[in-house]
Amino acid sequence: MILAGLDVGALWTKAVILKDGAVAVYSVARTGDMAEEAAEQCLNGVLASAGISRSDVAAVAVTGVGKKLIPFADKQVSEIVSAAKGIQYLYPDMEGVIDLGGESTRVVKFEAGGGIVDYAQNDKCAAGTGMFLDAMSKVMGIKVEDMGALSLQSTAEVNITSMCVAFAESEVVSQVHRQTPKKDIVRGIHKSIASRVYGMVNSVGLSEKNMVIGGLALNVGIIACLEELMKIKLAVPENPRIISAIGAAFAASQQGE
Amino acid sequence: MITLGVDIGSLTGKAVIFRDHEILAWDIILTGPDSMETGKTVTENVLNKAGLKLEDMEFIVSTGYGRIVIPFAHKNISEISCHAKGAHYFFPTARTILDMGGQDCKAIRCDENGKVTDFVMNDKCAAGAGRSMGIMADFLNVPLEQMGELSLQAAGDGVPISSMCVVFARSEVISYLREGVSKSEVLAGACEALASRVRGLLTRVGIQNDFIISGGIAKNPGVVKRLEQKLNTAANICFEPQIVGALGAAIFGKELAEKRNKKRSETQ
Repeated sequence: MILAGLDVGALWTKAVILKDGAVAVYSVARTGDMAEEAAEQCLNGVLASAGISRSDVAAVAVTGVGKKLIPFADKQVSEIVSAAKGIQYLYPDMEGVIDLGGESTRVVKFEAGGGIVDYAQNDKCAAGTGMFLDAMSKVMGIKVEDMGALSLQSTAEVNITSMCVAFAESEVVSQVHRQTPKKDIVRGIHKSIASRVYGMVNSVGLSEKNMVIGGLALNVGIIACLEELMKIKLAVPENPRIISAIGAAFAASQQGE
Repeated sequence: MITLGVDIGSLTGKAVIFRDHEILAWDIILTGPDSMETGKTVTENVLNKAGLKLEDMEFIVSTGYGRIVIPFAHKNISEISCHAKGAHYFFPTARTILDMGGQDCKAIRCDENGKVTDFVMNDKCAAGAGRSMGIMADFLNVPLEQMGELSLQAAGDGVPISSMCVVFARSEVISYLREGVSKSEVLAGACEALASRVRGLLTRVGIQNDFIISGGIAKNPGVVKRLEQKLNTAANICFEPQIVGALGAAIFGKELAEKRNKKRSETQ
Protein backbone atom coordinates (compact mmCIF):
# COMPACT_ATOMS: atom_id res chain seq x y z
CA MET A 1 0.00 0.00 0.00
CA ILE A 2 1.25 3.49 -0.85
CA LEU A 3 0.40 6.35 1.52
CA ALA A 4 1.23 10.02 1.42
CA GLY A 5 1.79 12.06 4.58
CA LEU A 6 1.74 15.85 4.59
CA ASP A 7 2.73 18.10 7.48
CA VAL A 8 1.60 21.66 6.83
CA GLY A 9 3.52 23.57 9.46
CA ALA A 10 3.46 27.29 10.24
CA LEU A 11 6.70 27.87 8.36
CA TRP A 12 7.41 24.71 6.35
CA THR A 13 5.37 22.04 4.57
CA LYS A 14 6.74 18.52 4.49
CA ALA A 15 5.59 15.60 2.32
CA VAL A 16 6.56 11.92 2.48
CA ILE A 17 5.57 8.75 0.67
CA LEU A 18 5.31 5.53 2.66
CA LYS A 19 5.58 2.55 0.37
CA ASP A 20 5.24 -0.99 1.72
CA GLY A 21 6.24 0.09 5.16
CA ALA A 22 9.30 2.13 4.16
CA VAL A 23 9.82 5.86 3.73
CA ALA A 24 10.26 6.27 -0.01
CA VAL A 25 10.93 9.95 -0.53
CA TYR A 26 10.34 13.27 1.16
CA SER A 27 10.44 16.94 0.33
CA VAL A 28 10.26 20.20 2.25
CA ALA A 29 8.90 23.56 1.03
CA ARG A 30 8.01 26.94 2.55
CA THR A 31 4.35 27.07 3.57
CA GLY A 32 3.90 30.78 2.90
CA ASP A 33 0.33 31.98 3.03
CA MET A 34 -0.91 29.73 0.24
CA ALA A 35 -0.88 26.53 2.26
CA GLU A 36 -2.93 24.51 -0.20
CA GLU A 37 -0.67 25.34 -3.14
CA ALA A 38 2.46 24.65 -1.11
CA ALA A 39 1.03 21.28 -0.06
CA GLU A 40 -0.03 20.41 -3.60
CA GLN A 41 3.43 21.27 -4.95
CA CYS A 42 5.17 19.39 -2.18
CA LEU A 43 3.03 16.32 -2.76
CA ASN A 44 3.47 16.39 -6.53
CA GLY A 45 7.21 16.77 -5.97
CA VAL A 46 7.50 13.59 -3.89
CA LEU A 47 5.23 11.65 -6.25
CA ALA A 48 7.33 12.67 -9.24
CA SER A 49 10.63 11.77 -7.63
CA ALA A 50 9.24 8.41 -6.48
CA GLY A 51 7.78 7.78 -9.93
CA ILE A 52 4.33 7.17 -8.48
CA SER A 53 1.10 8.53 -9.90
CA ARG A 54 -1.48 10.16 -7.66
CA SER A 55 -4.00 7.40 -8.40
CA ASP A 56 -1.67 4.80 -6.85
CA VAL A 57 -1.81 6.57 -3.49
CA ALA A 58 -4.31 4.83 -1.20
CA ALA A 59 -4.70 7.85 1.08
CA VAL A 60 -3.27 11.32 1.68
CA ALA A 61 -3.06 12.10 5.39
CA VAL A 62 -2.37 15.63 6.61
CA THR A 63 -1.20 17.07 9.93
CA GLY A 64 0.23 20.39 11.13
CA VAL A 65 -1.32 23.77 11.96
CA GLY A 66 -2.43 24.19 8.34
CA LYS A 67 -4.13 20.81 8.04
CA LYS A 68 -7.63 22.30 7.76
CA LEU A 69 -6.54 24.29 4.72
CA ILE A 70 -5.89 21.15 2.65
CA PRO A 71 -9.22 20.06 1.11
CA PHE A 72 -7.68 17.32 -1.05
CA ALA A 73 -6.45 15.32 1.95
CA ASP A 74 -8.34 12.14 2.85
CA LYS A 75 -7.53 12.21 6.56
CA GLN A 76 -6.59 14.80 9.15
CA VAL A 77 -4.33 13.69 11.96
CA SER A 78 -3.64 15.79 15.07
CA GLU A 79 -0.08 17.06 15.53
CA ILE A 80 0.16 15.22 18.86
CA VAL A 81 -0.74 11.90 17.26
CA SER A 82 1.43 12.37 14.18
CA ALA A 83 4.52 13.25 16.24
CA ALA A 84 4.04 10.15 18.40
CA LYS A 85 3.22 7.85 15.47
CA GLY A 86 6.20 9.06 13.45
CA ILE A 87 8.58 8.09 16.22
CA GLN A 88 6.78 4.80 16.88
CA TYR A 89 7.00 3.92 13.21
CA LEU A 90 10.76 4.43 13.01
CA TYR A 91 11.84 3.68 16.58
CA PRO A 92 9.39 1.18 18.12
CA ASP A 93 11.00 1.10 21.58
CA MET A 94 10.75 4.88 22.22
CA GLU A 95 8.34 6.26 24.81
CA GLY A 96 8.27 9.97 24.12
CA VAL A 97 8.86 12.79 21.64
CA ILE A 98 9.76 16.46 21.91
CA ASP A 99 8.55 18.33 18.83
CA LEU A 100 10.17 21.73 18.31
CA GLY A 101 8.26 23.43 15.51
CA GLY A 102 8.01 26.89 14.01
CA GLU A 103 5.00 28.19 15.91
CA SER A 104 4.41 25.45 18.41
CA THR A 105 6.26 23.19 20.79
CA ARG A 106 4.88 19.92 22.06
CA VAL A 107 5.96 17.10 24.28
CA VAL A 108 4.19 13.74 23.98
CA LYS A 109 4.56 10.71 26.22
CA PHE A 110 3.30 7.33 24.98
CA GLU A 111 3.63 3.61 25.62
CA ALA A 112 6.23 1.96 23.40
CA GLY A 113 4.25 1.10 20.28
CA GLY A 114 1.02 2.00 22.09
CA GLY A 115 -1.29 4.81 23.03
CA ILE A 116 -0.60 8.36 24.17
CA VAL A 117 -0.22 8.74 27.93
CA ASP A 118 0.12 12.52 28.27
CA TYR A 119 1.15 15.61 26.34
CA ALA A 120 1.83 19.33 26.71
CA GLN A 121 1.64 21.88 23.97
CA ASN A 122 2.39 25.57 23.51
CA ASP A 123 0.81 27.26 20.53
CA LYS A 124 -0.30 30.56 22.08
CA CYS A 125 3.04 32.22 22.72
CA ALA A 126 6.10 32.37 20.49
CA ALA A 127 8.49 31.94 23.43
CA GLY A 128 10.37 28.69 23.04
CA THR A 129 9.38 28.18 19.40
CA GLY A 130 11.13 28.45 16.05
CA MET A 131 9.67 31.93 15.63
CA PHE A 132 11.62 33.00 18.72
CA LEU A 133 14.83 31.73 17.15
CA ASP A 134 13.97 33.34 13.79
CA ALA A 135 13.36 36.71 15.42
CA MET A 136 16.64 36.56 17.36
CA SER A 137 18.58 35.47 14.29
CA LYS A 138 17.28 38.55 12.48
CA VAL A 139 18.21 41.05 15.20
CA MET A 140 21.66 39.47 15.51
CA GLY A 141 22.24 39.15 11.78
CA ILE A 142 23.23 35.49 12.12
CA LYS A 143 21.66 32.74 10.01
CA VAL A 144 19.49 30.32 11.97
CA GLU A 145 21.50 27.37 10.67
CA ASP A 146 24.75 28.90 11.94
CA MET A 147 23.51 29.56 15.46
CA GLY A 148 23.88 26.03 16.86
CA ALA A 149 27.58 25.59 16.11
CA LEU A 150 28.39 29.16 17.15
CA SER A 151 26.74 28.75 20.55
CA LEU A 152 28.82 25.65 21.31
CA GLN A 153 31.91 27.91 21.39
CA SER A 154 30.40 30.03 24.16
CA THR A 155 32.59 30.57 27.20
CA ALA A 156 30.54 33.00 29.35
CA GLU A 157 27.01 32.81 30.74
CA VAL A 158 24.51 35.27 29.28
CA ASN A 159 20.89 35.07 30.36
CA ILE A 160 18.00 36.38 28.31
CA THR A 161 15.50 37.09 31.06
CA SER A 162 12.51 38.22 28.98
CA MET A 163 10.19 35.43 28.02
CA CYS A 164 8.33 37.41 25.36
CA VAL A 165 9.90 37.53 21.88
CA ALA A 166 9.19 41.25 21.58
CA PHE A 167 10.94 42.03 24.88
CA ALA A 168 13.75 39.53 24.29
CA GLU A 169 14.51 41.30 20.99
CA SER A 170 15.31 44.53 22.84
CA GLU A 171 17.30 42.59 25.42
CA VAL A 172 19.38 40.95 22.69
CA VAL A 173 19.90 44.30 20.94
CA SER A 174 21.21 45.86 24.15
CA GLN A 175 23.53 42.88 24.68
CA VAL A 176 24.86 43.44 21.16
CA HIS A 177 25.35 47.16 21.95
CA ARG A 178 27.25 46.20 25.09
CA GLN A 179 29.50 44.15 22.80
CA THR A 180 28.78 40.90 24.56
CA PRO A 181 30.32 38.15 22.37
CA LYS A 182 27.73 36.86 19.91
CA LYS A 183 28.45 33.22 20.73
CA ASP A 184 27.48 33.88 24.36
CA ILE A 185 24.30 35.77 23.43
CA VAL A 186 23.28 32.96 21.07
CA ARG A 187 23.80 30.42 23.81
CA GLY A 188 21.65 32.60 26.09
CA ILE A 189 18.92 32.51 23.42
CA HIS A 190 19.19 28.72 23.19
CA LYS A 191 19.01 28.41 26.97
CA SER A 192 15.84 30.48 26.98
CA ILE A 193 14.20 28.17 24.42
CA ALA A 194 15.44 25.05 26.20
CA SER A 195 14.09 26.19 29.55
CA ARG A 196 10.62 26.71 28.09
CA VAL A 197 10.72 23.25 26.54
CA TYR A 198 12.06 21.77 29.77
CA GLY A 199 9.03 23.13 31.63
CA MET A 200 6.81 21.11 29.29
CA VAL A 201 9.04 18.03 29.55
CA ASN A 202 8.67 18.17 33.32
CA SER A 203 4.93 18.63 33.25
CA VAL A 204 4.59 15.51 31.10
CA GLY A 205 7.34 13.51 32.81
CA LEU A 206 9.27 11.89 29.97
CA SER A 207 11.38 8.76 30.39
CA GLU A 208 14.91 8.55 28.97
CA LYS A 209 13.65 6.86 25.83
CA ASN A 210 12.61 9.82 23.76
CA MET A 211 13.64 11.73 20.69
CA VAL A 212 13.63 15.33 19.54
CA ILE A 213 11.99 16.23 16.22
CA GLY A 214 11.00 19.38 14.32
CA GLY A 215 13.17 22.03 12.70
CA LEU A 216 14.80 23.16 15.95
CA ALA A 217 16.10 19.61 16.53
CA LEU A 218 18.68 20.44 13.85
CA ASN A 219 20.13 23.10 16.15
CA VAL A 220 22.91 21.42 18.15
CA GLY A 221 23.03 24.35 20.56
CA ILE A 222 19.41 23.92 21.63
CA ILE A 223 19.87 20.16 21.98
CA ALA A 224 22.97 20.74 24.15
CA CYS A 225 21.10 23.18 26.43
CA LEU A 226 18.15 20.81 26.71
CA GLU A 227 20.45 17.89 27.51
CA GLU A 228 22.04 19.98 30.25
CA LEU A 229 18.64 20.67 31.80
CA MET A 230 17.26 17.14 31.38
CA LYS A 231 20.57 15.57 32.45
CA ILE A 232 20.32 12.90 29.72
CA LYS A 233 21.61 12.44 26.19
CA LEU A 234 18.99 13.22 23.59
CA ALA A 235 18.61 11.42 20.30
CA VAL A 236 17.63 13.21 17.10
CA PRO A 237 16.41 11.18 14.11
CA GLU A 238 18.17 11.55 10.79
CA ASN A 239 15.55 13.86 9.28
CA PRO A 240 13.82 15.40 12.30
CA ARG A 241 11.61 17.68 10.21
CA ILE A 242 9.68 14.94 8.41
CA ILE A 243 8.76 12.72 11.36
CA SER A 244 5.26 14.12 11.79
CA ALA A 245 4.52 13.72 8.07
CA ILE A 246 5.59 10.07 8.38
CA GLY A 247 3.44 9.77 11.50
CA ALA A 248 0.38 11.15 9.69
CA ALA A 249 0.76 8.58 6.90
CA PHE A 250 1.37 5.80 9.43
CA ALA A 251 -1.71 6.81 11.43
CA ALA A 252 -3.75 6.69 8.23
CA SER A 253 -2.47 3.20 7.43
CA GLN A 254 -3.41 1.93 10.90
CA GLN A 255 -6.88 3.39 10.64
CA GLY A 256 -7.27 1.78 7.24
CA GLU A 257 -6.55 -1.68 8.57
CA MET B 1 10.01 73.90 48.14
CA ILE B 2 11.17 72.56 44.77
CA THR B 3 11.52 68.84 44.06
CA LEU B 4 12.35 66.71 41.04
CA GLY B 5 10.87 63.39 39.91
CA VAL B 6 12.60 61.29 37.26
CA ASP B 7 10.84 58.31 35.68
CA ILE B 8 13.01 56.05 33.48
CA GLY B 9 10.77 53.71 31.52
CA SER B 10 11.69 51.10 28.94
CA LEU B 11 10.95 53.41 26.02
CA THR B 12 10.89 56.96 27.42
CA GLY B 13 12.47 58.96 30.23
CA LYS B 14 10.32 61.59 31.95
CA ALA B 15 11.18 64.35 34.45
CA VAL B 16 8.95 66.77 36.37
CA ILE B 17 9.89 69.74 38.57
CA PHE B 18 7.29 70.35 41.26
CA ARG B 19 7.11 73.60 43.24
CA ASP B 20 4.76 73.85 46.19
CA HIS B 21 1.62 72.52 44.56
CA GLU B 22 2.28 73.06 40.90
CA ILE B 23 4.10 71.52 37.98
CA LEU B 24 6.85 73.96 37.07
CA ALA B 25 8.33 72.10 34.10
CA TRP B 26 8.37 68.65 32.52
CA ASP B 27 10.18 66.84 29.75
CA ILE B 28 9.96 63.51 27.91
CA ILE B 29 12.72 61.90 25.86
CA LEU B 30 13.29 58.50 24.29
CA THR B 31 15.29 56.10 26.47
CA GLY B 32 18.64 55.30 24.90
CA PRO B 33 20.61 52.13 25.55
CA ASP B 34 22.06 53.74 28.69
CA SER B 35 19.44 54.46 31.37
CA MET B 36 21.81 56.61 33.41
CA GLU B 37 22.50 58.88 30.41
CA THR B 38 18.76 59.09 29.74
CA GLY B 39 18.23 60.18 33.36
CA LYS B 40 20.90 62.85 33.11
CA THR B 41 19.68 64.21 29.77
CA VAL B 42 16.00 64.43 30.72
CA THR B 43 16.99 66.12 34.00
CA GLU B 44 19.17 68.69 32.20
CA ASN B 45 16.29 69.38 29.81
CA VAL B 46 13.74 69.95 32.54
CA LEU B 47 16.13 72.13 34.56
CA ASN B 48 16.78 74.28 31.48
CA LYS B 49 13.05 74.65 30.89
CA ALA B 50 12.53 75.79 34.49
CA GLY B 51 15.71 77.92 34.48
CA LEU B 52 16.94 76.10 37.59
CA LYS B 53 20.00 74.12 38.67
CA LEU B 54 20.24 70.62 40.15
CA GLU B 55 21.32 72.21 43.47
CA ASP B 56 17.97 74.03 43.60
CA MET B 57 16.17 70.70 43.94
CA GLU B 58 15.46 70.06 47.58
CA PHE B 59 14.73 66.39 47.03
CA ILE B 60 15.04 64.11 44.02
CA VAL B 61 13.11 60.83 43.62
CA SER B 62 13.61 58.37 40.79
CA THR B 63 11.11 55.80 39.62
CA GLY B 64 10.45 53.41 36.74
CA TYR B 65 12.31 50.49 35.29
CA GLY B 66 15.67 52.34 35.39
CA ARG B 67 15.18 54.03 38.77
CA ILE B 68 18.15 52.37 40.49
CA VAL B 69 20.73 53.82 38.09
CA ILE B 70 20.01 57.52 38.72
CA PRO B 71 23.06 58.55 40.80
CA PHE B 72 21.75 61.98 41.84
CA ALA B 73 18.43 60.70 43.23
CA HIS B 74 18.03 60.78 47.01
CA LYS B 75 15.58 57.90 46.91
CA ASN B 76 13.93 55.55 44.45
CA ILE B 77 10.29 54.58 44.76
CA SER B 78 8.34 51.96 42.80
CA GLU B 79 6.41 53.22 39.79
CA ILE B 80 3.21 51.68 41.18
CA SER B 81 3.25 54.07 44.15
CA CYS B 82 4.32 57.00 41.98
CA HIS B 83 1.54 56.48 39.44
CA ALA B 84 -1.08 56.37 42.17
CA LYS B 85 0.38 59.48 43.76
CA GLY B 86 0.54 61.37 40.45
CA ALA B 87 -2.96 60.29 39.39
CA HIS B 88 -4.30 61.45 42.76
CA TYR B 89 -2.78 64.89 42.15
CA PHE B 90 -4.59 65.31 38.82
CA PHE B 91 -7.79 63.58 39.91
CA PRO B 92 -8.25 63.46 43.71
CA THR B 93 -11.28 61.17 43.21
CA ALA B 94 -9.14 58.58 41.37
CA ARG B 95 -9.61 55.03 42.70
CA THR B 96 -8.55 52.83 39.75
CA ILE B 97 -5.57 53.61 37.56
CA LEU B 98 -4.49 51.92 34.39
CA ASP B 99 -0.91 52.72 33.52
CA MET B 100 0.34 51.27 30.30
CA GLY B 101 3.81 51.92 29.07
CA GLY B 102 5.93 50.24 26.44
CA GLN B 103 7.00 47.22 28.40
CA ASP B 104 4.38 46.75 31.06
CA CYS B 105 0.81 47.32 32.05
CA LYS B 106 -0.39 47.98 35.60
CA ALA B 107 -3.87 48.10 37.05
CA ILE B 108 -3.69 49.94 40.37
CA ARG B 109 -6.29 50.55 43.07
CA CYS B 110 -5.74 53.43 45.48
CA ASP B 111 -7.50 55.08 48.41
CA GLU B 112 -8.67 58.67 48.89
CA ASN B 113 -5.10 59.72 49.74
CA GLY B 114 -3.56 58.28 46.59
CA LYS B 115 -2.05 55.35 48.51
CA VAL B 116 -1.90 52.01 46.69
CA THR B 117 -4.30 49.40 48.09
CA ASP B 118 -3.87 46.72 45.40
CA PHE B 119 -2.35 46.21 41.97
CA VAL B 120 -1.81 43.66 39.23
CA MET B 121 0.81 43.89 36.56
CA ASN B 122 1.78 42.31 33.29
CA ASP B 123 5.39 42.69 32.32
CA LYS B 124 5.94 39.26 30.81
CA CYS B 125 4.09 39.48 27.52
CA ALA B 126 4.07 42.25 24.91
CA ALA B 127 0.52 41.39 23.86
CA GLY B 128 -0.81 43.26 26.89
CA ALA B 129 1.60 46.18 26.73
CA GLY B 130 2.11 49.29 24.63
CA ARG B 131 4.79 47.50 22.66
CA SER B 132 2.12 45.54 20.79
CA MET B 133 0.88 48.85 19.35
CA GLY B 134 4.42 49.88 18.44
CA ILE B 135 4.99 46.59 16.63
CA MET B 136 1.76 46.92 14.64
CA ALA B 137 2.45 50.58 13.84
CA ASP B 138 5.91 49.73 12.53
CA PHE B 139 4.63 46.77 10.64
CA LEU B 140 1.80 48.71 8.96
CA ASN B 141 4.03 51.74 8.49
CA VAL B 142 1.63 54.02 10.38
CA PRO B 143 2.97 56.60 12.87
CA LEU B 144 2.27 55.33 16.40
CA GLU B 145 0.48 58.54 17.38
CA GLN B 146 -1.95 58.24 14.44
CA MET B 147 -2.90 54.60 14.78
CA GLY B 148 -5.65 55.18 17.34
CA GLU B 149 -7.45 57.73 15.16
CA LEU B 150 -7.01 55.56 12.09
CA SER B 151 -8.47 52.55 13.90
CA LEU B 152 -11.62 54.55 14.67
CA GLN B 153 -12.23 55.06 10.95
CA ALA B 154 -12.95 51.35 10.56
CA ALA B 155 -16.52 50.15 10.67
CA GLY B 156 -17.20 48.18 13.83
CA ASP B 157 -14.57 46.12 15.64
CA GLY B 158 -12.42 45.56 12.55
CA VAL B 159 -11.01 42.14 11.79
CA PRO B 160 -10.53 39.76 14.72
CA ILE B 161 -6.90 39.13 15.67
CA SER B 162 -7.12 35.65 17.13
CA SER B 163 -3.43 35.15 17.99
CA MET B 164 -2.58 36.23 21.47
CA CYS B 165 1.14 36.50 20.81
CA VAL B 166 2.26 39.66 19.01
CA VAL B 167 4.66 37.65 16.88
CA PHE B 168 1.90 35.31 15.71
CA ALA B 169 -0.49 38.25 15.27
CA ARG B 170 1.97 39.75 12.81
CA SER B 171 1.66 36.68 10.57
CA GLU B 172 -2.11 36.86 10.92
CA VAL B 173 -2.05 40.49 9.81
CA ILE B 174 0.01 39.60 6.73
CA SER B 175 -2.76 37.29 5.54
CA TYR B 176 -5.40 39.95 6.23
CA LEU B 177 -3.50 42.50 4.17
CA ARG B 178 -3.09 40.00 1.32
CA GLU B 179 -6.85 39.47 1.39
CA GLY B 180 -7.27 43.21 0.90
CA VAL B 181 -8.37 44.13 4.44
CA SER B 182 -7.72 47.86 5.04
CA LYS B 183 -5.12 49.12 7.50
CA SER B 184 -7.81 50.80 9.58
CA GLU B 185 -9.67 47.51 9.99
CA VAL B 186 -6.46 45.74 11.02
CA LEU B 187 -5.66 48.53 13.48
CA ALA B 188 -9.19 48.37 14.85
CA GLY B 189 -8.65 44.65 15.45
CA ALA B 190 -5.31 45.31 17.17
CA CYS B 191 -6.77 48.04 19.43
CA GLU B 192 -9.74 45.81 20.23
CA ALA B 193 -7.41 42.94 21.17
CA LEU B 194 -5.34 45.16 23.44
CA ALA B 195 -8.45 46.67 25.08
CA SER B 196 -9.74 43.15 25.81
CA ARG B 197 -6.46 42.10 27.40
CA VAL B 198 -6.38 45.25 29.53
CA ARG B 199 -9.96 44.75 30.64
CA GLY B 200 -8.94 41.34 31.97
CA LEU B 201 -6.19 42.91 34.05
CA LEU B 202 -8.51 45.64 35.38
CA THR B 203 -11.19 43.10 36.29
CA ARG B 204 -8.67 41.24 38.40
CA VAL B 205 -7.94 44.31 40.50
CA GLY B 206 -11.60 45.42 40.46
CA ILE B 207 -12.75 48.67 38.92
CA GLN B 208 -14.04 51.47 41.09
CA ASN B 209 -14.69 54.99 39.83
CA ASP B 210 -13.08 57.32 39.12
CA PHE B 211 -11.05 55.56 36.49
CA ILE B 212 -7.78 57.09 35.26
CA ILE B 213 -5.53 56.12 32.36
CA SER B 214 -1.88 57.12 32.37
CA GLY B 215 1.15 56.20 30.29
CA GLY B 216 1.61 56.33 26.55
CA ILE B 217 -1.49 54.26 25.79
CA ALA B 218 -3.70 57.12 27.06
CA LYS B 219 -2.71 58.94 23.85
CA ASN B 220 -4.27 56.20 21.72
CA PRO B 221 -8.00 56.98 21.37
CA GLY B 222 -8.51 53.68 19.56
CA VAL B 223 -7.68 51.74 22.71
CA VAL B 224 -9.14 54.29 25.18
CA LYS B 225 -12.58 54.48 23.47
CA ARG B 226 -12.86 50.70 23.17
CA LEU B 227 -11.86 50.26 26.79
CA GLU B 228 -14.43 52.84 27.92
CA GLN B 229 -17.12 50.94 26.03
CA LYS B 230 -16.10 47.61 27.53
CA LEU B 231 -15.95 48.98 31.08
CA ASN B 232 -18.99 51.18 30.58
CA THR B 233 -17.22 54.06 32.29
CA ALA B 234 -15.44 57.21 31.16
CA ALA B 235 -11.68 57.42 31.52
CA ASN B 236 -10.02 60.50 32.99
CA ILE B 237 -6.83 61.49 31.22
CA CYS B 238 -4.64 64.41 32.24
CA PHE B 239 -3.03 66.84 29.78
CA GLU B 240 0.19 64.80 29.59
CA PRO B 241 -0.46 61.18 30.63
CA GLN B 242 3.19 60.17 30.27
CA ILE B 243 4.40 62.35 33.15
CA VAL B 244 2.10 60.95 35.86
CA GLY B 245 4.80 58.66 37.31
CA ALA B 246 7.50 61.35 37.33
CA LEU B 247 5.05 63.78 38.91
CA GLY B 248 4.20 61.24 41.61
CA ALA B 249 7.93 60.83 42.27
CA ALA B 250 8.35 64.61 42.63
CA ILE B 251 5.38 64.76 45.06
CA PHE B 252 6.91 61.93 47.10
CA GLY B 253 10.09 64.03 47.10
CA LYS B 254 8.19 66.95 48.54
CA GLU B 255 6.65 64.81 51.30
CA LEU B 256 9.99 63.24 52.14
CA ALA B 257 11.75 66.61 52.22
CA GLU B 258 9.06 68.01 54.52
CA LYS B 259 9.45 65.05 56.87
CA ARG B 260 13.23 65.43 56.82
CA ASN B 261 13.03 69.19 57.47
CA LYS B 262 10.61 68.62 60.34
CA LYS B 263 12.97 66.09 61.93
CA ARG B 264 15.89 68.48 61.54
CA SER B 265 14.06 71.35 63.21
CA GLU B 266 13.00 69.06 66.06
CA THR B 267 16.57 67.93 66.75
CA GLN B 268 17.93 71.47 66.68
